[in-house]
Amino acid sequence: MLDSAKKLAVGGNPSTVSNGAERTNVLANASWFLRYSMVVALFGLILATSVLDSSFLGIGNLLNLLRQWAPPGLMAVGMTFVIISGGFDLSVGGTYAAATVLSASLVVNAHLPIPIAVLLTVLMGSGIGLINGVVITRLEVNPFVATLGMGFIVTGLNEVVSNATPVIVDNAAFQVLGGGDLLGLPIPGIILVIVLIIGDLLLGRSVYGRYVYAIGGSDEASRLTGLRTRSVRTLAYVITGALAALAGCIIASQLGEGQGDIGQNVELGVITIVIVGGNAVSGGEGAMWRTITGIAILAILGNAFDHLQISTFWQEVIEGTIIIGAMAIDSYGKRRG
Amino acid sequence: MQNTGTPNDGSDKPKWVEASSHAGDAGAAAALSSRVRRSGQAPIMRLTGIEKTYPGVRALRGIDLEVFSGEVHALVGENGAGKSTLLKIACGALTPSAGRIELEDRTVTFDHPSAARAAGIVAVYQELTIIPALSAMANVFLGREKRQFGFLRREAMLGEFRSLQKQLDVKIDPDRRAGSLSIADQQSLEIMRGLVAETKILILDEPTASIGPSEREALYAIVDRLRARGVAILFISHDLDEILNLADRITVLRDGGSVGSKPRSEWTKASMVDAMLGESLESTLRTHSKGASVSGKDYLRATDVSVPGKVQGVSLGVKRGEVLGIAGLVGSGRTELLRALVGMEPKSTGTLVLDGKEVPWPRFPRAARDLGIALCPEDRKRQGLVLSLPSYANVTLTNPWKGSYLGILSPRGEMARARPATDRLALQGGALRRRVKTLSGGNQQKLVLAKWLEAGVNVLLVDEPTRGVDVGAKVELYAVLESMAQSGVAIILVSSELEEVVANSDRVLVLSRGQLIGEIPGRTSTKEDVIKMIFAAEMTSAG
Repeated sequence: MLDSAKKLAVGGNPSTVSNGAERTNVLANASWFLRYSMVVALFGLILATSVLDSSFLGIGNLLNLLRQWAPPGLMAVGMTFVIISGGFDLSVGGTYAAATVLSASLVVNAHLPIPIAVLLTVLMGSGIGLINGVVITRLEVNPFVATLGMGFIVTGLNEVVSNATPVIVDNAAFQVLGGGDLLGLPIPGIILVIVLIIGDLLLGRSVYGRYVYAIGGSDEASRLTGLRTRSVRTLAYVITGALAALAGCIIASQLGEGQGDIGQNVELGVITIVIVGGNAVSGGEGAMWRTITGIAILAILGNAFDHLQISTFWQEVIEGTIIIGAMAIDSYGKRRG
Repeated sequence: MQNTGTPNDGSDKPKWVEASSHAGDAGAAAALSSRVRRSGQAPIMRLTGIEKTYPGVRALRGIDLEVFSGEVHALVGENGAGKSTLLKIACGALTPSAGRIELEDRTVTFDHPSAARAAGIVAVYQELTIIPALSAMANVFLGREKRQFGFLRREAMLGEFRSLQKQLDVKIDPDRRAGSLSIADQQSLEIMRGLVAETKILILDEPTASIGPSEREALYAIVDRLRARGVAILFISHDLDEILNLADRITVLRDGGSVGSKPRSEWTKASMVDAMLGESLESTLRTHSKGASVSGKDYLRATDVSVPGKVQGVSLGVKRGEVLGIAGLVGSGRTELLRALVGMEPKSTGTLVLDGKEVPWPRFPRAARDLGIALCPEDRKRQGLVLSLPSYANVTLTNPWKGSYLGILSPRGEMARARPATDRLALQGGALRRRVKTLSGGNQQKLVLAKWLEAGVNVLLVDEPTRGVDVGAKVELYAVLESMAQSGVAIILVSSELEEVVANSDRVLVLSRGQLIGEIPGRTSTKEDVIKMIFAAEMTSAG
């Protein structure tokens, strides 16, 4: 060791530079596996599940999974923007539950056409996101606290307005949104795929997406560069609020009712998707394909649990382990890289 | 000749032979002569062939250092010479890439600062580690609370706190919130914290950089007392007079290597400066390229700029093509002045005239950018760049729309847009594709400059452009600033390296305690002119 040290000491600058570059390459190769570790895990999971359960890869089962996981998937797309921007949104559960009630009563009580009802509900979700964004960027309240509080407010108001009674929808046309098919594909699944594609373009290829990565990576550097960091941040919450409301409409349609109390712990499930996919909770890094990976992992895992008849308690234990494992891999990758 | 090889030493050569092959020149010879002189006493700590490499950067290249009990050993060198890295290695905050650390003739490896602390090595950093919300006493005993059954023994701690106060001859209310104390008092707390444990080596990283003259005297007295008690003290400072007064032994670092390690009596101020800079460097840093001085009207004129508590009523003007230097010690308000001009100090006031027209005072960075004023901040990793983005995206970050097609970005389009600016700054082509984290300090700084070059700003404020940048890149960076100035940009330059400000500015404004105390011509003046002006002002304000 001392010998090599001596050589370096005599070698001078040029050798150091090449030495540094080599090391970066080696690290880049080593980190490839870490980078795609969750995708590898996903394929392992697909393989294992299809061996254990022959009906898993059946087209009917897969389409059903798509329908079932569309609402949390939609919310995860929004949450990806928020988390990469360095934030957090704990109010999506409240928004989602409020949206089931609002969309149901707009259809049942106000007799509005379904597209208008959905549009108004999504606007309500955007409004909640806007308030979140303003509270976080203007009043400078920590995102965790601001959205936690907002979740309580929305949930409480929702119960007050709806008198804590479910709004039953007996409108067949409304049930198409969550239960219908188009060209043999579940409509919620089609909506999810479209939102994922738009979300990926927006995050990965658009100027707005670039700004989201920038403020998540360094808010101060972005501000000094002259970016409108507050607007960028606020928009991420607006997107999340809108998608949470859309998810609520789909669920209301699937359940045939709007229910004020179904949003509990929904936000944690959504954040789990984003984290399990390997997006950095600290912000600045991540991608939409990671969120897709997260949706797929949790969907397949849930499916396997059901088929193997594992108790929900053990499901929670396993999910918790996976979250922590994903984070540990992420931190390990950062330390190495 | 004692200590020529320890049991742990794998080589059978006498150690001084090995040591000399690392340092090669005067350093080893001096270390050797000092060992002869002190043949009766072994060093308490000996660092041999210490190296530290980061990808693309070699921060330390084989440094030998010996520290003796009851001595003040000063480390001097320019910013980026490796002083702080070396100290961090000595106190276990960093692990060396190669080399050996011996403590009282046993080879040790510190994998954590707490291991060094347990061995009696205590470091007081430039950035203090006081917890502002806790009381003064709680800070001193943090992690070493006196306890019984898990409960704090307040009286016992108070007794020790008082005796420590007596040792250092300071007066601090033990129950006061540490955050409300002066910087000097906070520093005393850090030292007291060190003394709670048995301290063999005390490391002080630029302890006097941010405190005033009378507080310095108090600190010198503390150092004297600790030295008399047999503590070894490693001391970093930029103030050469202070070092000559205080140190028993001085090691000069340059460019990650040791240039010389000799007893105090063998150094003079001049020989230290020569060793620090290397004569050739001093001449290259002095560009002298501009023959005629810039003429014409001020492009930017800021009048009566104030930042509460930091800057008081400073006025300045800068012309297109001119480099205006701002010199001052830490705490003089130089950074806050720049931040105010780009809207980063919301409480600042002043009037701003651009190109003869009065414009609203910038309240946020976007407003300043729209006026064509931009800042290359001192903390380029946190404030200048987004490390998680690729290099090209940092250059185009001011306005990615320009490189996009209907708002859709492509790496190719962005790189094509970034390239003219980075080519002008001689940033190697491959660097654009690499992650910012893997670039050297000099190249990172060039990225920040390229961002503003690309955005086409009229006024560029540059804060500490060469901090942590190696010497060759320093020269390049100043050449880049010069060429930006020649293309019509008005530049305001701030650096804690007074030589660099003076050598690379057309005019230099001198700040002291938030006030403008004078102006001297750049390039032909010297660092000493600035220092004299600052001390003259401090004397009158103190008297």
